[in-house]
Amino acid sequence: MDAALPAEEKNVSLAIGIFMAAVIAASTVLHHLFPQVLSVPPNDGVNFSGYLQMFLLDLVPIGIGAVCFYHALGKYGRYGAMMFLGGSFFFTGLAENVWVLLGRYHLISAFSSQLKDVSGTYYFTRGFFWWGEIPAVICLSWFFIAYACVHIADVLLPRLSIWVKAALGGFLALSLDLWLDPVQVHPYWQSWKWISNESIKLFSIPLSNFAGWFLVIGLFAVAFDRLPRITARWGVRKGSGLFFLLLIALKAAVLTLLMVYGVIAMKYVVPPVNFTLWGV
Amino acid sequence: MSKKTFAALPIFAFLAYWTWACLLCALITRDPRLLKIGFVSLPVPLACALGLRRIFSEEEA
Repeated sequence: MDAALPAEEKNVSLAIGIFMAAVIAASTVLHHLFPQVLSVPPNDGVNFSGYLQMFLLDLVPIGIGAVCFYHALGKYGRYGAMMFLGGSFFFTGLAENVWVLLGRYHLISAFSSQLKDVSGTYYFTRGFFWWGEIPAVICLSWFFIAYACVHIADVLLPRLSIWVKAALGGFLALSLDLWLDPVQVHPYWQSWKWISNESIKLFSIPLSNFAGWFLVIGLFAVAFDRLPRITARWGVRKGSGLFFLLLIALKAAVLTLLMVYGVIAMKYVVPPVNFTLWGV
Repeated sequence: MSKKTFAALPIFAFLAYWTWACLLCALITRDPRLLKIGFVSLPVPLACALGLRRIFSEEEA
């Protein structure tokens, strides 16, 4: 049994790698060559949206992600590193694709008639490699942000429970995005565009976005912490599948929570409020 | 590479991303308002500095 484990870990790692490469290749071709299939909005007026420029800009997060993956290989081994990479890619990529496509096809109102006036959600403009309708480097950024935030929490609070570390990791990610989002949606960059008329905004960014950052990073940290126990009980192959199912369940929970928040906010926060500083 | 330098890699990576995606991109826009609101993200460099301090002070001990 013990001798079989490394082989299973190797197979699962390989499967994750092949799946990621296949989805990224297919999504990239679909996004650039057949934009009509997923109604990709045009990039008119968006700086640095030429193919070479997008490729070069993608190299920055790819380099940073490579550093964190190298660290993960040393800390968790190939299986653990691939589960962190694949899990965070899958978890956040699925979450963001759901949000983008719900907004693009005006499906938010399907959750509640209270949301019938929602104008949309958001979409990304720039990216050479894609994962569905999300730039692959955004998913990669989720990987290294989650990895680094949890690592910092682990360094600063080594003796505390995973829940406290996850909360600190989520808070650090949230703190990053409080500045990242206003900068990246600035007319100069337009890395993504908010088309949401959500009731409560902070720096002109929907409040649910910041809640999402905290929840996604925190919950992924807790889920990854459970992985060794899941594989110890169910075996590597079945345990890996259950880990991904757990991520889908957490994704559904976050989506439901934010929808309920949206319904309540749309009903009771009238007119909408936007907390700004210096007009940002 | 020493163990402590290895332990610090994710922190350097996170700090590099914050420096690029937040600080440098804000500077490039030449919009002073974006730099002013940068204080909301100070927990990031602060936590990174504390993490690096802990890692490298343990090396000296």
